[in-house]
Amino acid sequence: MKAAFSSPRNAVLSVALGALLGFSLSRIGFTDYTQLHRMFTFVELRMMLVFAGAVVIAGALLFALRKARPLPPRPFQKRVVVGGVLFGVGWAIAGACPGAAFAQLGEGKVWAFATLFGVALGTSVADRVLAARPSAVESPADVCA
Amino acid sequence: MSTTHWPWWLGALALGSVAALVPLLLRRGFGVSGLVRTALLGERPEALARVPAALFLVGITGGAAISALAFGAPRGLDPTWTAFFGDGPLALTALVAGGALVGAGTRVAGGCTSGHGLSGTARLQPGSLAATVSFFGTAVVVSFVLAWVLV
Repeated sequence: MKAAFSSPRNAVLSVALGALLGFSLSRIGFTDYTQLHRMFTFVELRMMLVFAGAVVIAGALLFALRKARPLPPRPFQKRVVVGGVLFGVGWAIAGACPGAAFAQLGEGKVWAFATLFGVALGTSVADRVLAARPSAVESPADVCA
Repeated sequence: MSTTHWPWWLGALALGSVAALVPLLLRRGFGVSGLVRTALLGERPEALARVPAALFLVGITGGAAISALAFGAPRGLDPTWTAFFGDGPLALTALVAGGALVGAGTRVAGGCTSGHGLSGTARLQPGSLAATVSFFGTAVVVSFVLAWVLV
């Protein structure tokens, strides 16, 4: 599985699938704080339906692929809740999940550089904190994050 | 307004497809926060190498650029957002601090909206369900606090 990671085929596919994701995030409105805020305050349920529908569709497709492309289990751990709460605060304040921050930049929202700087900073700091706790780093939650 | 945005079913089809196409074609789990970490901090044995990870992020940026050029997208700070944080030093602080919480939180949780919210939840993984309830629920609470307290 590791051998093909840096192949030209993978490079092209990485750009193409990333572009499909970025285009979609923009057209859906996940890059738009007003849309996001209206979802989180239940004023407008469209984007919540987008997500629920995507989970169902992904579930069906990944179930069909489960033998050919098995993905690692994600067992319950305290850290997924701790991290989830931190992420939730950040998402509601900065108005972006990691993918949406890159999509915002692509849309010409230059201020998204500030968000991305924060994301890089937070990722690096948390990585160091976790590295100081080997038991946490070795946990299965790191697989295919 | 959402008139220029996709209807929910089209968005669901697109995101659901990406979550399956990534493992099908790239032979890895779908997760943007993991790609950010790989691109930023180097390789992990399980993950894409640094270059393809960065290329995926470049792709996200480019795809959104095509969307904005073809259909338009606001460039300035969002009016709902500036009502909460203004457009001065507080705004910059909110973006960097909020981004840092996104980065740290997704690193600690081992995934974000894509890895846990979409890919893991779609496979009914307990850790992903707990992470998704945590980040979505927290974002709901913080959004209501912002709407009630700051305005």
